Amino acid sequence: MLLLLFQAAGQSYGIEAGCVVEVVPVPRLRPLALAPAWLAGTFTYRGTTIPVVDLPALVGGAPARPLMSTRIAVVRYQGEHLLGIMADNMTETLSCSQEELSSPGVRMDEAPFLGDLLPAATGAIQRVTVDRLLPDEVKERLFPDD
Amino acid sequence: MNRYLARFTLAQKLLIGGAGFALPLAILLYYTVAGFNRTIRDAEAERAGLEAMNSLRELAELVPLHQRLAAYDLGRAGQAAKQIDVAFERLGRTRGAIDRKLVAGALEHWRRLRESQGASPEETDPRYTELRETITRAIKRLADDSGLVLDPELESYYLMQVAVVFMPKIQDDLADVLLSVRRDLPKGGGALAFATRLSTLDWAELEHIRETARSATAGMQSRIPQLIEAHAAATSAFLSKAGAVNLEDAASIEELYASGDRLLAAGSSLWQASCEEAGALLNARVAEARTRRLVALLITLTSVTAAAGLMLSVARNTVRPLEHVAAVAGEIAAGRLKQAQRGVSEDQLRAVIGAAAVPGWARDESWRLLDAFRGMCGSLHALLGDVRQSGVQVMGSATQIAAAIRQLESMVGRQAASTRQAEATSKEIYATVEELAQRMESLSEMASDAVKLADDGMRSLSGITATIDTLSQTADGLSGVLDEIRRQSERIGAVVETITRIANRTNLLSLNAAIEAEKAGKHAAGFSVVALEVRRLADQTAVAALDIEESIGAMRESVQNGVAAVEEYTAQVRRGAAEVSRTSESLEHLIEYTRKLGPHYEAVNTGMQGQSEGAGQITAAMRELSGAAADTSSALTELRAAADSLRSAVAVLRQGVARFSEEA
Repeated sequence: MLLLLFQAAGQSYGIEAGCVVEVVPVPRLRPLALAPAWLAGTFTYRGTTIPVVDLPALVGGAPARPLMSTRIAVVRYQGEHLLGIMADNMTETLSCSQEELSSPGVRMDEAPFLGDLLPAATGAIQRVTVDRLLPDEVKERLFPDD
Repeated sequence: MNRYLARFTLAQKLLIGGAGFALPLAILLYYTVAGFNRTIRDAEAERAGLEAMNSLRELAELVPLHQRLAAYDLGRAGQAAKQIDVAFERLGRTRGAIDRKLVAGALEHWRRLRESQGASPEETDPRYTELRETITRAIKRLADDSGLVLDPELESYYLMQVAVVFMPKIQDDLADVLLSVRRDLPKGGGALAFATRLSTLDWAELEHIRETARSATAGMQSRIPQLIEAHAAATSAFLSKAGAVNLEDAASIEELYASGDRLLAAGSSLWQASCEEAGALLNARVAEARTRRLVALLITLTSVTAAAGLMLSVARNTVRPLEHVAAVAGEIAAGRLKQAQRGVSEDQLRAVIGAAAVPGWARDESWRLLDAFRGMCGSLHALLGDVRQSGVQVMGSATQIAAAIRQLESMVGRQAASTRQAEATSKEIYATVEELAQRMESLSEMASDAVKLADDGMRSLSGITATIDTLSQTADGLSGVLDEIRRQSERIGAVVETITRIANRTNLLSLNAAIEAEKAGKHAAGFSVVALEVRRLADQTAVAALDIEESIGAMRESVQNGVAAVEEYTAQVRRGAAEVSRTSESLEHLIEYTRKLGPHYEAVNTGMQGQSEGAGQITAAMRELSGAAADTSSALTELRAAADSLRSAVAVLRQGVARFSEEA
C-alpha cells in the first residue's frame, strides 16, 4: 500500500495512493460564498469543476500556506465524484503494509475521516479516509445529484 | 413825534389820549341828541297844529250849521253861534302855528254875520261863503305850517291825510248839499239845484278817504274802523233817501235832511277821531324820542365816565410805581443799597401799589417791574459782595505774582551762570571731536589692509573646494561599481529560482509517476524505483539551489552594507564641500563688508567734521542764550512794575466798592 504524505497543523498525514487521480500545483481558486473556512473553493480540472478541501483548516489548524510544496491531490470521492485535497509538503510517498498500521485509540465523531496511525522516524503518520471526508449536509450541497 | 411826546409826563399823555377819544364821542353825542330833539320839536309842533286844527274843525262844521239853521231855527242857531264864539276864543289861545291874520279875518266876518241878525239869506250867504273859505284857507295854512301834511311817519301820515285834507272838503260839500235840501227842495223847481249840488259830492273821493283811513288802522287806533263803517252806512242811507225823495212830500224832504244830518255827524265823528288818533300817535312818538334821547345820553355818559375812571386808575397805578422805582434807583445811584432794598420790600411795594396781597399770576407790569427791581437790588448786593471778595483775592494774587517774579529773577540769574558753564563745556566738546576725527582716519587705513588679507584667504579656499570635488567624483564611481555587483547577484537569483522551479516540477512528476506505478501493481515496480530516484535527484537539486540562494543572500547583504558605507562617505564629502562653500561665501561677505566699510569710514569722518562745526555753533548759541537771559531779566523788572500797578488798581476798585458798603 502506497501513502501520499503531506502535513497539516504540524502533523503528518497520508492518503491511499489508489484513490488519487493526480497531484497538481495549486491554481487560482474560486472561493465559495458563505461556505465553511475549510472549503477553499473550486477549480476546473480537465473540464470538470471540482471542490477543494483545505485539510489543515479542516483538522483545526491554520489554512494551507501559499508555498511551492503546497499542492492539491485530485481524488475520487466515494467512487464517482472528483474532490481536491489541498495540504502542505505534499512531496513524498511511503510504502507500507496493512499490518504496520495501528488504531489511534481515540476516535472523534467530528472527524470520522481520521484513520489508523503508522509509526515512523519523524513521528506518527495518520491515515486519512477520503470517502468519510465530507459531512453529509456538505456532501449533499456539493453533489446534489445523489 | 416821539420827541414832542417825550416832553410830557405819563399822566399828561394819558390825558391827551383820553381827550382824543372824548372829543369825537362828544360830537357824535351832540348830533344824536340834536336829531332826537328835532324829532321831538317837530312832533310837538304837529301836536300844537292838531290842537288848533280841532278848533278850526269845529268852526268849519259849526259855521255851515249856523248858516243852515239861521233861517228857520233861531234857537239852535243861537246855540251854534255860542259854540262858534267859544271855538274862536279857543283858537285865539292855541299855540299852534296858525295864521293869525286869517283867523283875525275870519273873526271879523263872523262878527259882521252876528251883527246882521235877521237879514235875508241872499245878504248873508256871501259872508258865510267868505267865512267858510277863510276857515278852509286857515286849515290849509295850518296843515302846511305845522308839517301835518308832510308828516314823516307813515302811520300818522294817512290819518293826517284824512283829518287835514279830505275831511274838511267833504264835510264842506255835504254842508252845501244839506243847505240845498233845506232851501231849494221845498221850493218848486228846486230839484235841479239840489241835483246840481248833489252831483258836486265826489263819492269816489269819499271811498278813497275810507280806504286811506282803513290803511291807517294797522296801528294803535281802534275806533277808526267802526267809525268808517258807520260813515259808509250813513252815506248809503242818505243816497237811498236822496234817490227816493218825494219833492211834494215835506216829510220825505225832512227825512232826507235828517239822514244828511246823520251823515254829517258821522263824518264829524270820523274827522274828530282821526285828529285825536293822530294826536295820540304824535304823543307816542314824542315819548319814544325822549326815551331814546335819555338812553343815548345815559349810555354815552356812563361809558365815558367809566373809561375816564379806568384811565385815571391806570395812570395812578403806573405812575406811582414808576416814581417809586425812580426814587429807589436814585438810592442805588447814591450808593444807599440797604435803603433801596428796604424800598423794594414786599410790604413797601404793596403800600405803593395800594393793594392787598396779590397772587403771582394776577400781578400786572408794575408789579413785575418792582419785582424785577427787587431782584436787581439783591443781585447788586451779591455782586458787590463778590467784587469785594474778588478784590481781596486779586490783591493776594498780585502779591503772589510779585513774589513769583522775584523768584524768577533769581532763577534767570542761575540760568545765565549755567549757560556760561555750558559754553565752556561745548568748547571742550569741540576739541574732543577734532581728536576723534584724526583717529577715524587711521581706522580707515587699517580697514583697507584687512580687505587685502581677506582676498588672500579666498584664493586658498578655492583650492580646497577643487580637491573636495575630485573626492566626491571618486565616491560616485565606487557607488556605480557596487550597483553593478548588485545587478549581477540579482541575475544569479533569477537563475536559482528557475532551477528551484524545475526541481519542483520534477518532484511533482515523480510523485504522480509513483502513484501511477502503485496503481499499475507489481509490473510497474521497476518504474516505481526510477520514480523514487528521480524524486531524490530533484530534492538534491532543490537543496543545492537553496545553498546558492543562501550564498547570494549573504553576498547581497554585504554589497548592501558597502553601498550604504559609500553613500555615507559621499554624503560626508558633500557636507564638507557645502561647509567649504559656506565658509567661502562668509569670507566673501566679510571682504565685501570690509570693502564697503571704507566709504563708511569716510562718511563718519565727514560727520565728525560736521559735529565739530556743530560744536562751534553750539558755543555761539550759548553766547546768544546768555544775552537773552539778560533781556529776560530786564523784562522781569517791567513785569514787577506791572504787578505793582495791578495792586494799586485793585486798591482803587476796593475803594469804589467800599462806597456801597459804607452807608447805614
